[in-house]
Amino acid sequence: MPTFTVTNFLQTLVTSVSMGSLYALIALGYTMVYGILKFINFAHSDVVVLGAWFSYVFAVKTLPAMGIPPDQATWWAGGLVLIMAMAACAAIGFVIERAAYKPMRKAPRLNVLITAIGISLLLQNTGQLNFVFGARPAGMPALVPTTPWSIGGTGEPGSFGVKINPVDVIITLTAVALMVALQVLVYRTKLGSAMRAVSHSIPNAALMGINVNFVISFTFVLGAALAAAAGFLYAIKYNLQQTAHPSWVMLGLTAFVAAVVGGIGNIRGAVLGAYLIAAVQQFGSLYISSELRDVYVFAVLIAVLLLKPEGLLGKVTREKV
Amino acid sequence: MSTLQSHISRHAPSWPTALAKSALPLAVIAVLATLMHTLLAPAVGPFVTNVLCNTGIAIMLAVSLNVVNGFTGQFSIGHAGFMAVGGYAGGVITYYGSLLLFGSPAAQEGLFTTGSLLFLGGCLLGGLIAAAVGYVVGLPALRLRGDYLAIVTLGFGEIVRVLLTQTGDVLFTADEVREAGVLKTVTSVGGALGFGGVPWYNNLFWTTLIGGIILLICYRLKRGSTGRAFLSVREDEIAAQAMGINIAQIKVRAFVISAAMAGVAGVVFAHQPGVALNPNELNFNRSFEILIAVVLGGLGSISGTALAAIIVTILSETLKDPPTVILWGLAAIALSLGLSVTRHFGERRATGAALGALIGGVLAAVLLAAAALKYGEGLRASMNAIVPAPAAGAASPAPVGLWIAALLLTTLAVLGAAKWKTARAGVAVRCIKIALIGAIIVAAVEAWRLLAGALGVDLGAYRMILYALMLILMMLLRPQGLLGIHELWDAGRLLRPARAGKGAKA
Amino acid sequence: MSGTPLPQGEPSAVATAVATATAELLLDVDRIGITFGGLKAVQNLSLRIPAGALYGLIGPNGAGKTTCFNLLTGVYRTQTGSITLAGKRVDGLKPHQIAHAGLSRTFQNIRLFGELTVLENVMLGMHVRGRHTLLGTLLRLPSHVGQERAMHARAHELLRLFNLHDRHAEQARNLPYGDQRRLEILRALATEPRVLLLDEPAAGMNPQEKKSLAQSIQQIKRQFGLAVLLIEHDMGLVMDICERITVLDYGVVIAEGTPSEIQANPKVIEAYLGEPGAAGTPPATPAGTSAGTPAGTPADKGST
Repeated sequence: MPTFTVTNFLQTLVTSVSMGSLYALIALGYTMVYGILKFINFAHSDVVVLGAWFSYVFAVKTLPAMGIPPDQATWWAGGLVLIMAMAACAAIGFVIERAAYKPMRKAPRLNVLITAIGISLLLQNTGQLNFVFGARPAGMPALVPTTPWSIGGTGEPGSFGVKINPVDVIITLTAVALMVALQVLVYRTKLGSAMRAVSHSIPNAALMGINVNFVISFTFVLGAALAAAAGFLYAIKYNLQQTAHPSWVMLGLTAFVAAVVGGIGNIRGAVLGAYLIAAVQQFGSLYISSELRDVYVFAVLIAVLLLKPEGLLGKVTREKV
Repeated sequence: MSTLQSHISRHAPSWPTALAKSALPLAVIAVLATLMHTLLAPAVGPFVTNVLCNTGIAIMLAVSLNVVNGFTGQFSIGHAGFMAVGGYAGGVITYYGSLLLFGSPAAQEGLFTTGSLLFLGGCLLGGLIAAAVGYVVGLPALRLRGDYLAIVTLGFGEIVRVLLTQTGDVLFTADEVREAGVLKTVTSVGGALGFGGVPWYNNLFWTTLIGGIILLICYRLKRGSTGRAFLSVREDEIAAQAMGINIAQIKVRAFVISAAMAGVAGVVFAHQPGVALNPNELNFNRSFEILIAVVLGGLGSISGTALAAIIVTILSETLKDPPTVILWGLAAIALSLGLSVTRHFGERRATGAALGALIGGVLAAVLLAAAALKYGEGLRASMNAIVPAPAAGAASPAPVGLWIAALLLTTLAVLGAAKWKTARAGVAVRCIKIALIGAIIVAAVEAWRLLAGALGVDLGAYRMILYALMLILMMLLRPQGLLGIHELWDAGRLLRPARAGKGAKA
Repeated sequence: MSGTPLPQGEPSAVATAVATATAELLLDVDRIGITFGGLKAVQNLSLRIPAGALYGLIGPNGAGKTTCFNLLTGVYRTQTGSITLAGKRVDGLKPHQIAHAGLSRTFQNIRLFGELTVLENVMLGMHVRGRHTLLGTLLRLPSHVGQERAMHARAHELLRLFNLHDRHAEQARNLPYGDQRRLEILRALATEPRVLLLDEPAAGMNPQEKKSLAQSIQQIKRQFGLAVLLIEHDMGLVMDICERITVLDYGVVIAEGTPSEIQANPKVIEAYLGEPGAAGTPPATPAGTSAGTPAGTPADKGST
């Protein structure tokens, strides 16, 4: 166990914020779908994976085709890749909802869950076919500057100094911007109030003249787009594993745990939970053991479920008898 | 004293009768296991024996998961975790036990040796430890419903995997073990590199015996009062509670029983010739494979789950190297036949429905087995590197399987034709429809096979995709699975008009 | 097996006890209440049910009747007051413990074990009176086999009460609606209760069926020596068979008394018809012409 230093602490805090932002983007997708359809979209983490791989493909194939070498990409090229990946995943989210979940809307929750697992397996294993993304890991070309900014300190031992990667800043800023946009959408627009109405009660919302099918599809599209953004941000920071790799499952699960910890179905809860989980994970890795980082996540999950099953900001629900 | 209690003694059989009846199936299983080992195994050769053992292990895992997911309606998707816990515990017993006792971890020759006692001890301990872990995992089940529980169990499976990858290197000599002490020894199971060297004690005898016992346990559970209480929790927790059923206790019990059986299956797997335990192979994909068998076979159906486990295992084997199109096509026909007729299960509309399900299912299994055997010839050479070659090359029984299949299909067609004249023309129409569906599937599979051959695509890569599609289609078309909650042997009872006041089975 | 005697109460004794009003107090509900969020679903509800009684609980939609049942059976935990069953406090116990103590119920929206057979449903009702060990089940020990056979035999006897024994092998969800309601009553009876709570047993039945149900309820009560508490919207049925009636509105008891007292009570009429002093007619005629749910029931009284 390393001794406590301010540098270590601050450095870990920076990583926590960056990771937390990523988790938050993914957790929002889980929580929105749960809020509306009351089921866990098991395939959501796979949409994140697709987002990451789409970003990779767009950056490696599409940008050069447009005459932009990826290694000399400008800021707007990165933005372009992000938007393309979001659009592609939004389309996939739409198709998944219409083809697989819509026919199951009145089915028992267990059946929907099994369908979702099926979709998840389908996406994972299709993704690693040779003519899709392949079964090899890949590294995204550097779309953003890689030289870290040093703040304070001189790099000498004992001095307070933090290195901040531009990537982490981009991740945090993009994620925060998207979350603010989502917040505005859900709480300040007509569509947002329709979403909240559907989440409250589908039949009642339908009686009020809300186009429920549209709202549900829109929710999936929105969740998938956010997932794609998370995938893009992940891709610019880390190497990509093949789509069926266990590391992706852990990424999705961690984000899901964040949504549960915050109170599933609650948008602000998901964000809060995400930063909390990231902090627990990063600081646990720093002070205890980095090998057990996944174990901390589940320890938190189980603690929350046993002590406050509705999550930090969730509401208690009661089954009608 | 309550009313029910006062009647029990009057109905209770005597101890000798009860015990004799209770032990009879065990004797049958033991005889069957002996026959399988002494007659079947040498006849079909080591490769097929290996496939049969793997099928047996898949059945054990599927029916054990069925206790939680099928009977009790809780949703556990981390079953490979229990399997891993049991497998590693059993492996530690036999590997380090052999090192200490015999000085070498190699398996001893013969069916009943000190080594096989060690193996049985490993089964017992693996089952117990897995049961204890099942208890701990079952506790959240009291608080969580449905999806939440699924996530917790998935997380459990992953955590087991992560923890196993953190373990130390395997010790190789008895001296090292004595030096290391108990705690270090039991955690020296190879980490991410895997736990190689576990003696290969498993064979068709043990697989059949242990698998048979597990199936018997499931059957007696379902038919007894405990299993009935399990099913009531699945059907309606609130009503079950109102009827005085302690659902918390039931859920934990289900988890413990299921985990124990999965643990034992894990031990059998760990000692299966050709297997080297590796945490990364006991991951969530493995859990999903088990889950798929349960969902396809029917949540709550022991026979359906076992049947699906057979199909899934043989399918996995077959996809690696597709056999001839005829076998594929016939299997497809048989499967769709089984699927289509089982629609009428419990509805008592078509007389031949349950029979059709039985024939369809068995047919599909036979055909797929034949397919596996046929292509197995080619793989035998590679397997012989691991498993000793048979003394004499056994002929492939594929043609026999084909003949049986043809005979059954003809019988079915005749049956269908005979029904045409009666009011049940629908059955005949259905037979024709099925033949059409079969033809389409044959064409599609053949096209894919040709295409795959032309492009040099490995069909094995499509295994999980196929499972995923099967899962999604099953949920859309027949969410309760092939047999639903029913068993193949219920067919007669469901189809026969209910007799009035049949009374207790005396 | 067919010779198994049904559990016999002592009808004459019970009848006398009720008649002389000195009956042993079986279920004593003392000022229980529960609040959901800001909604006071049930407040200060008291019920005193002697052995062998048949009482009714009525009230407009959303008055808190089913919530009351949920409180009695432990589905919801009481926030105030106490529930005593035959001298034993049962409030705060888990639902299965309450069932064990002798309180059984049916549900407003039928909650049978649909995939299981009719027979298995009844046998599950008996589960609480049995002893179940895993070893007994797995090894088929004499105690387990004997218990299964006894359950089997008794379940058939019970099914005969409602002529359901012919359909014992069918899945419960395949029964017609009326039979499902009857099966729920049998399943509740199988738990050997002291007090039976029936939540709208006649809902969805035609007048003929209601009539025979009313007879069955009275017969069951006598035969098993039970106390019955009944929620019902059919005023004819309630007025016909209930000895005393409690009226709930907005979660509070607004009246309590014999059927004739209730019919004459202006508060009850007001609760049902919603116009103070306007109604001169009772909610239903004593003759028992199935009046159904009285018209004019306010629909916006919150949910139970």
